Amino acid sequence: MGNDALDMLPLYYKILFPSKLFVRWLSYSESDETYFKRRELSFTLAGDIYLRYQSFPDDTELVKALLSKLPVKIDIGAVFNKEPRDNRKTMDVLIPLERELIFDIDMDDYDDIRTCCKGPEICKNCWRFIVIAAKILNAALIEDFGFKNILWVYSGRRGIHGWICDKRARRLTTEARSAIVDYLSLIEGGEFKSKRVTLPANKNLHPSITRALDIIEKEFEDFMVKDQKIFDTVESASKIVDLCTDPELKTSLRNKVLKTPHRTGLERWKCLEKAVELHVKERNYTRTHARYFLDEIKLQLCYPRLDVNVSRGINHLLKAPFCVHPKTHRVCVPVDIANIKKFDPFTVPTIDQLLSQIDAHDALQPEEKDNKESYAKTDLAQSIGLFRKFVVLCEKEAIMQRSSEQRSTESLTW
Amino acid sequence: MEFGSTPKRSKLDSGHVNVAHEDFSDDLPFYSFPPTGKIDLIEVDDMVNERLSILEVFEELKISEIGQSKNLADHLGTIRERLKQIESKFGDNFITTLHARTLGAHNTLKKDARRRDQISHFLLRLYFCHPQEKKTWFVNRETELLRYRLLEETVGKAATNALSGQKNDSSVVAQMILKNNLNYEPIHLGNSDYDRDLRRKASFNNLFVTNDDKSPFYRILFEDALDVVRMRKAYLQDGYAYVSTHDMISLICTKFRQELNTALSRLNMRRSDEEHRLLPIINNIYLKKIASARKLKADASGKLKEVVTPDMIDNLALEHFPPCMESIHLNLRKNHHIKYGGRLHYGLFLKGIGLSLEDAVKFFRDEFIQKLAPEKFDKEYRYGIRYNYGKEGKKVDFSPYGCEKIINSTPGVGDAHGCPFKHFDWTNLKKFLVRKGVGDEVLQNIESLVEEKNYSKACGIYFTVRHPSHQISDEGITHPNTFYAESRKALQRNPKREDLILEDEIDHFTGSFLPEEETLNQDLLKLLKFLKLLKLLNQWIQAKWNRNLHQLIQTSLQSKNLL
Ligand code: SF4
Ligand SMILES: [Zn+2]
Repeated sequence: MGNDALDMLPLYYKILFPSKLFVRWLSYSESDETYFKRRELSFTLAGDIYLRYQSFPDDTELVKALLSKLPVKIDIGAVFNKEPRDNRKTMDVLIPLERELIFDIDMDDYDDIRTCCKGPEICKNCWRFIVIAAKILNAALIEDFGFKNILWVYSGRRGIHGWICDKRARRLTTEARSAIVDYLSLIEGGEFKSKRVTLPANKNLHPSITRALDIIEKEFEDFMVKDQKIFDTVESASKIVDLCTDPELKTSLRNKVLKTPHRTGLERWKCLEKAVELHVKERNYTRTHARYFLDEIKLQLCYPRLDVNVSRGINHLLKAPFCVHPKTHRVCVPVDIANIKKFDPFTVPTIDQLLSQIDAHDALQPEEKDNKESYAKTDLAQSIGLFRKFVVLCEKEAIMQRSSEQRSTESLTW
Repeated sequence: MEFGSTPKRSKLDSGHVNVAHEDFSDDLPFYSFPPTGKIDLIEVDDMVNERLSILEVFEELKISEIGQSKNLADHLGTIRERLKQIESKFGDNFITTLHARTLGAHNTLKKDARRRDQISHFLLRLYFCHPQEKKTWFVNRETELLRYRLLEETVGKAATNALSGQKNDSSVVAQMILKNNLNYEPIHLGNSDYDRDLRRKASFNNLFVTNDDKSPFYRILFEDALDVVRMRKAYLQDGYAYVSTHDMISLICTKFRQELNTALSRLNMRRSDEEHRLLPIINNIYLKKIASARKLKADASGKLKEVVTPDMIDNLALEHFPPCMESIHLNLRKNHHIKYGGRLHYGLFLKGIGLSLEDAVKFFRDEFIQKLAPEKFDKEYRYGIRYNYGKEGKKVDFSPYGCEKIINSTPGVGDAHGCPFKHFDWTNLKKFLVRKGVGDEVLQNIESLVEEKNYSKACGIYFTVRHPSHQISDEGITHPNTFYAESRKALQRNPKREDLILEDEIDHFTGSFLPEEETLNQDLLKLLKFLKLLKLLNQWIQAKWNRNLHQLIQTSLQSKNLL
């Protein structure tokens, strides 16, 4: 983080960072009052100094620590058996007990397929990979696993984090998290494997894959073919054709798609689509490897690419919402998944912008200077509103669950 | 063999093993409860052989690898034929009898097969619960066997039934789930749009199960069906997995594998726990036995104890020795010498707690030569120590003296041995006791017991002060080695490293020495039965199977790159 931004951090933590709401969120209205106290927060200070196992009794103490230590990054860890900061005071080992189920989707993992940018760059075009991935994950988590309290947070530069906060999710074992991750992972192999999705031809598609394909299909031509231009050159189109594992079909595709002149990438794609469909139709579909070739292409290009290790562990750290990204200075704001298409990472406010928005507001409406919350004078207002709505949702779940538990014990005693 | 019911029996290969409740109603058991009742030992031998032969088939023809392949029915057929070739002393083996294709297998035959199935499974648990590679092999084979049996009852029968036009029967799985409280509830989908949509999605991959529309789905919290989730084998909706009857088989097998693993670990833990807890008692009974009957081989006694080395003795004396022995020890350390009586009493006591002859010589020598020329020790004292160990003179393996002998001994001037409660005057005894932390009230108590000449009881009270939470027999202490053993035992409750060496003892103990029933408590009897049975299993399996089995286990481990 540059010096200027570092200079602004005290003010940001003092008047903009929603610390009260943040602590309310991580308390989840749990009846156990130590729930937040047992949560690990870890700070990264300027100069790459890591302070792990911080924990705080309440928001006042948290703000105090933020102001005295000025972390350039805050990470959220697990809820432990005791307060992590007391670790050295008592003999019992620190054991992680609970944490949200988390997902991290990062543009890094799409570098081999996106054609618009390279490295740390992103543009509106390739951001769509992230949008599609989040949509697919969100649908699976809600419809398949029955989770309700999901917070999506912009990572500050070129990715998105999913926080699944349901009580049931927080209590998942490592094994269960692993199983969920495996269920949600389709892309396999690394650098040296070109074909990364293989769907067995003798089996029907799992309904979750069918649903993912429905989501991808809506965007595929517009996004992959037109914007990402994957069929625009023979060279890039041949990479796709080469994925075909059926030798007969592969030869025919080479002839039809690569050797025949086409005017546009879209024409090339349409041609490939038709050729594959014809090939499958003429054969016993369960016997040909090409049965799912078109689906495999779509999935390989657009299915979520997860950082599986983040999700598997119960003790993995993940950057907290409302951190300021040290390079872009953008705030890691919550994303409204229902309107994720409208979310534009390039209009996410930076710390510099936010502070000048406060000044501008105070200059225009001096009467509000001291009786309006600072965030409300800035573009952060909407994000904090979204966050508040989410926190209330989590609290409602806790209250409802407790009252239903109460009812069931009452009925037992009757 | 009914263990312990006839006190004097020492032959093991006659009689019965007790087997609990005689409920053998399941053709396809989950083995949740061990059977009870009686069986013939000869039968045990045959049963073990029968089951091992059956398990061996699955080493070759692994069913788990076949999974859902189209050839499953053929593969099941191959296994079925292989199993049929296994003969047992009982005629058809139990699998062949229980899964007979044709109806009307004789009822008594079936009942007998069920019984063999259950008993042999539990017998092998004992043998296979330790060490890990044996356990892994057994769990894998048993799980495969169960998978085969479930598949055979559903898919296998469906295939034959299809030929004869009969309907598929998926109820075996349902029954298994129901009977064993597996907490999976079937849901029956009706004809509403919602139900039909659900059925369509849930059967997305039902290429395999026949088109029996009534076969139920099981609605299971996804957390309870992780394997199915991981492999994307079931449709998930709203936090539940909808598992087909067919896929329930793999779920049941996973559950079975887990439970068997836990059960074996528990069994193994219980075994070593009980052994650790009870061994000192056995030790004492054993010592008593030697003291009274002295007919056991000399080398036998050395086997029974934990190993004590000279460097441990100071600590042990402070913490675990009875007053008589502690006072001899202190005396020895102070004067670098003890007289004949002390050497005899103390030497035998040390032998009793596990000090080897070599170590005993070293221990006394190191102490004595501080005042004495080494040559003199070698000439004058070595003999006596070797004598204690039955290596010189009469060559009798003497057992440690009990309290009675010590109390009735008459220590003279300069003698260190004797029972402090009797042979110390009160001032000295009191000094000793106070130093060991005995309080005023107890002192009074002990004083009056000493006056009544009830030394054993007095010693017992002293023991209780040392180990308040440890129960000992009402009559007090009757043998210094019992005092020691109980004291060690009390400490083991609070976790502390103990290096008991067990294997040989068990062997020795179960092989040549059968304590009389009335001297044993229930726990001990149970342990003895257990050890005896284990020993028998070991013998039989080793004799007929071990080389073979060992090889099997090695190969199966190698194939998994575990070695
Ligand atoms: S009563 Fe027995 S154990 Fe106790 S001191 Fe006397 S001889 Fe030793
Ligand atoms: Zn781009």
